[in-house]
Amino acid sequence: MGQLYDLRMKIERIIEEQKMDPFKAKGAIGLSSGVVFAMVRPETPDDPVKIQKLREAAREILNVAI
Amino acid sequence: MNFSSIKVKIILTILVCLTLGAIGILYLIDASYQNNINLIAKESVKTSEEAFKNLEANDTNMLAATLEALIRDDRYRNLFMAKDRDGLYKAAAPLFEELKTKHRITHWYFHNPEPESTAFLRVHKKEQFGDVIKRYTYQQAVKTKELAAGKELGKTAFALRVVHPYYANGKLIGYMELGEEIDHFLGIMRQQIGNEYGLLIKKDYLDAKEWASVRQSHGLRNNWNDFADVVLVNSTVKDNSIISFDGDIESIPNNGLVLGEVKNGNSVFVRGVFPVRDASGKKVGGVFFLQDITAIYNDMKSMQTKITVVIAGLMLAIIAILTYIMNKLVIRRLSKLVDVATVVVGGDYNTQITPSAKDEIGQFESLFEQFRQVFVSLMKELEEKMDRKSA
Repeated sequence: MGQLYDLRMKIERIIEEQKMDPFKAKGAIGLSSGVVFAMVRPETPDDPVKIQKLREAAREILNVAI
Repeated sequence: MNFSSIKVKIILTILVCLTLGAIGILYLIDASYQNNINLIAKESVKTSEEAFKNLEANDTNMLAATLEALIRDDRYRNLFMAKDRDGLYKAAAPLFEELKTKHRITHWYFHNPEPESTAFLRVHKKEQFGDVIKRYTYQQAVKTKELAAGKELGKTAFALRVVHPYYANGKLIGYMELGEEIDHFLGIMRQQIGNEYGLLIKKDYLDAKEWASVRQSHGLRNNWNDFADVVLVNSTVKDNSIISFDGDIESIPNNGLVLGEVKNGNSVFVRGVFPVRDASGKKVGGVFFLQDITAIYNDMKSMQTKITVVIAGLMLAIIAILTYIMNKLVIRRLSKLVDVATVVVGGDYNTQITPSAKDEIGQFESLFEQFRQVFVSLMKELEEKMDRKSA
């Protein structure tokens, strides 16, 4: 399991904890970071740029630093 | 406020247009008011000048008729021919008092004929006689041997004078003159027209010392230095401070001059002046007038306030209607498209977009739905490939 997939999981957990609309929240993060959640699988290779963008988008949308 | 929003931009544009329109309307109201005031003032100049001329003509006729009657009186003629100054004074004085009281006649002269041209008797001022008479009306009567009349300035006041040749058995024995001060003209004009008036005379034609003395004798402040070139001789207003004229009497056009507005307390006046000529035709002064336009001014201000309130109300109504229409027709529908795009990217492949109208946004919604279906199809295909690969 790569870091990118791990980050996806963390974000999905936070969305669930914050009781947000999962599609809306993931869509907003996806549009902001350019990373589509459905395309991030355990075997997806890590990309530091994508990881950084996903973190920034999560911080912006969820208001949580990951 | 988000200035990049189309809604805000449109509302701001309309606000700017309405504000410019309001400024334009207020300007037009003000211009129309100024135009009306100018017309009123011009009409007032004309009316006042006509009233002044009519009063002068009427009083000239009254003086001339009185003079004609006095000239025919043998008693005065015989005493004048006998050069009996005291006898003539005693005979004329009682009648003069009556004329003064009833008809405002303030001057009565018996003049010696040319070439002597001296004052034989001033019934109104017995002690002063023997001086050579140089006044224009007298000279005109000498020249034409007919009745001469006109306004002439003394050292402190304007007087309307009529002079008539005095004959005995067809032979010229002298001249008789009647005169009246014209101060009462302004009061009559005020009663007839309703304006306030002031008579201004050029200082060149008055005597400063005599003026100071006359003012003092009447218990009035010496106003000689109030204006540079003119003196306010008489006025119908209590507060003379609102009468001001620093222009040149000579430059006042024959049909008068509108001097603009002046405020005094809660009252607003429009001012004007028309020239006053003496018997020789020289412009020696001017009649200044003040017309109360407070009601018109207040109407204009009230109209401006009403229009400002109406336009402000209109602005609020337009903003409310525009906001509602923009939200209903554009903003909410675009927002819905953004929401659908977001949830699709988030993995919801079932939410569809149904065109809400057959307008431009509706066309875009149809296109967006087609695009969404292609996107969903591609995503599903891609996910299946990834699932197969990982399996």
